[in-house]
Amino acid sequence: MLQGFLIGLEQFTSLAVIAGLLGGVLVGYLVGALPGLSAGVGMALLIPFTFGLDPVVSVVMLVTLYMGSEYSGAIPAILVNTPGEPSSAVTAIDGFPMRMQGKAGEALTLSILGSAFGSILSTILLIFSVHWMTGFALAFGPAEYFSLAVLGLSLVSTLSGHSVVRGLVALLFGLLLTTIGTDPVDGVARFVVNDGLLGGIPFISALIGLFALSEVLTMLETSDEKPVVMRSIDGVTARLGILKPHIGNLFRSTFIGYILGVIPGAGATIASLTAYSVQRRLSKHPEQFGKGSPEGVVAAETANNSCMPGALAPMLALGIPGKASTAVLIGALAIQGVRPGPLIFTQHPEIPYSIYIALLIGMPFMVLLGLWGAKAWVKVTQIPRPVIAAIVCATCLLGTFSESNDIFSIWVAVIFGVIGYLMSKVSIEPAPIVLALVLGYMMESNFRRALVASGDELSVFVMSPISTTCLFLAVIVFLLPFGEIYARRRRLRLDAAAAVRTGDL
Amino acid sequence: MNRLIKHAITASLLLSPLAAAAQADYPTRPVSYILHVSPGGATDIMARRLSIELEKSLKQPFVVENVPGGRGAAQFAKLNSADPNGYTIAAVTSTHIGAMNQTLKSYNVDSFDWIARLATEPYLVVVPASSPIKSMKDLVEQANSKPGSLVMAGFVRGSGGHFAWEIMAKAAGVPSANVRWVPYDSVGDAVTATLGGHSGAAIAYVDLVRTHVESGALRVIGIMTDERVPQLPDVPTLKEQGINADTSWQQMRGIIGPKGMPDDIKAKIASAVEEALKTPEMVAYYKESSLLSAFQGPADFTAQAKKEDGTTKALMKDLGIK
Amino acid sequence: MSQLDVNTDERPEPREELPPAATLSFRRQWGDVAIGTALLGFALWFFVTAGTIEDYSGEAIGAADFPRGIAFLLAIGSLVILVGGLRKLRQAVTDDHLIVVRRYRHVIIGMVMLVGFPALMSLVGFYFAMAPWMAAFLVLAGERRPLHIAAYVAGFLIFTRVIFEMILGTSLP
Repeated sequence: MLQGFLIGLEQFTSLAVIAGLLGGVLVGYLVGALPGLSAGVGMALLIPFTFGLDPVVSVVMLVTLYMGSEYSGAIPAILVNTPGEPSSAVTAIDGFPMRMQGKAGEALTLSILGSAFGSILSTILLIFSVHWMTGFALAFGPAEYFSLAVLGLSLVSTLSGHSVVRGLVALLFGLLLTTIGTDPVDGVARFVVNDGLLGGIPFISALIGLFALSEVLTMLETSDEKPVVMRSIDGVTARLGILKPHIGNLFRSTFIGYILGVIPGAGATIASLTAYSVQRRLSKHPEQFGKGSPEGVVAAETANNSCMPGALAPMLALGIPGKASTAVLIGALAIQGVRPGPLIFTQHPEIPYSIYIALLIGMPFMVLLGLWGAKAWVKVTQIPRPVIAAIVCATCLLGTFSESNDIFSIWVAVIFGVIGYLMSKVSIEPAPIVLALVLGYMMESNFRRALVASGDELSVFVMSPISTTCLFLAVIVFLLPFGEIYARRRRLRLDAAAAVRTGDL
Repeated sequence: MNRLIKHAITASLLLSPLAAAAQADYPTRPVSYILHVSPGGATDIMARRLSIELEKSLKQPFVVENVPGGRGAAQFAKLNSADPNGYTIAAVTSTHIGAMNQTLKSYNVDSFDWIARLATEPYLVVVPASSPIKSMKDLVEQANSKPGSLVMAGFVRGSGGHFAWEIMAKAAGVPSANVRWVPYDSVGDAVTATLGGHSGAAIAYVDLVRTHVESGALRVIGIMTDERVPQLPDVPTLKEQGINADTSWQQMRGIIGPKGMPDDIKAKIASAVEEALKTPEMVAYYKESSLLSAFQGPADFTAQAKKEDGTTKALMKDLGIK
Repeated sequence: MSQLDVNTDERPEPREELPPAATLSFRRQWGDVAIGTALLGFALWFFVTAGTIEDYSGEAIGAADFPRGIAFLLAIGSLVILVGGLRKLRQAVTDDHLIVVRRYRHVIIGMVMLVGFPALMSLVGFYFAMAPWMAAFLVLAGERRPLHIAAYVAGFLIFTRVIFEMILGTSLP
């Protein structure tokens, strides 16, 4: 391993590699902040530029771009409730309320520092565990994926705020939407009212609609209001202390992000949702979640950034593209004649090790850029609200289009914008819908796949230890909040009774 | 409105004596090359590679445009509405022909002009290295002696890979119902599932299994080609193992255009493609990606597409897929 | 942290500074009735349409079964909301249960404009659609100075051209 690091470090004596690193961070920062342009799309758009480059330069550039965009998706999420990356939708749940309370600076600082912590710790985990993790990644077959999806969906009771019924209805609404498209097993079209839906509802468009465009409509209600005045932010050194109360949260969220990153197909959005829910469950102030809890921002951002090194484990060691962005990385390496897989560590050690080093030394640049940027970005909140509304709206419409080069995806985004706005008026939150959109397809396709493979034996879901554990946890996770609600009501009743007895009323 | 104007201009161009000259000059402006996939995958990279070579020889940029919506629906719609003047072309694969018979029935092979075939990828059967199945004979034996015990992973029902399996099963005398076909979201996912031991075998391509074969995790027991492939020299063909499956059934990649393109423009693009495929860059790329060079010009490619379409229809009828 | 807490207390209360505007308000239960009915219809459409899906695979769970099950559950869930709303509507009015839509005309025009944008764009292309659309949206949101509007629109279109078309290489119609 030490020798590998030396080979990797040697690469960084080249100016071209350093330039690739800085370029990647900068472009990633930009791509992440633009809604609709996800990390995968941004990386793919850079691929033509990498044709003539050295493999190490191109991989360093793409990996740091990936890293940068995973962070900067939080910026528009916090400032204008517009997730720049799908996973930062979770950051918006608490980041945007913080900004409405005039704490945009704090939220941005927390998001960059949490991201940095998650990314670096997770990279270290990756370096030491990449070979063990391959077995873990491969252990997931249809039955395991189904149970994992169920476990994810069981978070709905934690995510659904004060009304569990509304949370469940939102979840079911989202699940029903995921059945639109080509059937995963039989290949027949289901509920396809327009050919554009054959591939299912475009996820990013739906997300932009639910969060950003519905927020734009909400802004129209109050766009005659004066901008919320921003208070100044502390100096950089003072700001590091801001993480102190979140240490446990940081470690937990990093582990959650890393593990879910390793599982192919799980992804950053699930990681963020999980870390967010776990934190909400463990927090001393769960009632603040959804209303501007710094803990929520830290959990979501730490998890989605630690997911990324996790996703590199199966990609490097097995050549498995777990997500769109790692698929692009494999493609970019293939152009250079480098094939990720079990042999890459012996045939091309410079690739994995320069990725590690790029992640470790790219992050400080990211932090500097992020902290410097945070100062500039908070000024966004002083722009008159009509202008913000129009610019956010226009950028979202443009971003959705460029994601698929198809006007159909704009239709999806605007329809979801209207739906999201109407639902928020009757207190149906977007979080459970997102949860369903991410996991619904995974649940159904793997359930049916497992049944086809086993010849309709339902016992297949309890035969594997991973699957059984996930299902067991799902029941507990789903029921826990109900127990708490019961306990709280009981306590209130007892208190009231006691108060009556002692005459305190 | 734009389209009306465009049509009017094209029509007047075609009618005027300038038309012939305009076609001889082709291309005089950038050509857009529409893909049905998101950026970054194998088809995308191949198109981007090729467009560099085409730009070198035709002196105009070939702009790759990714239109991944609706599993090919958006690409077809866009191509269908474009003028057949050679400035809009699109990528095509065998999967498109499958789609024309299933989810995108409003199109058929006659809806487009088939310009050039670029490459093919043969199908193969892969098993985990720990599997007792060492050859096609073992596989056939297990399938027939213990029906339902073998799980075969691949792409969705009705895809090229699924039909490849049906073709070889028929040739080997394995009834369709004896093996459980488990469809995954992509061929790559099917290989991963086989790697993890969640399925007993998979139908895949050389490119997707090569590293795992080299590292000793997977074993390829047969490949559906006439001759062995250079990337896997130890793997016997199906024919060598006594299974006479139709080896022309391979995953194909090509270029199509809107219906009604002038023949000389099609020929010009096809010959530029043929030249491009001979450049050292493309040869190296083909070798690295385990693609078989399989150029066909407009006439041959159209015939080949019709043949594949016929095979697809016959197989769907056999399997009761609508 | 303690400093933050202090700041939280000082945070501006935007609602109080708002100028008077046309406001639509109605009891929350009416909203529940509306959304319950809409979701019930949505679920029923899926349930009925699922019946037309070809099911030739012969497994225990086919293409139609999953959507059917979920549609059934969603129908129950939306009925709970619908019936709950109707029941409470018969009780006395309590004023903390209001849905308030401030400047509702602006919001409705905004919705129409959102839905109108893709239609406009498919007719005249991105730039010609976005320029008037964005100007109109700025006016709707409350920006009335013509020079500012022109500057914002021009700025956005240049940003589009430079970032999306030139640097990122996406092509816009």
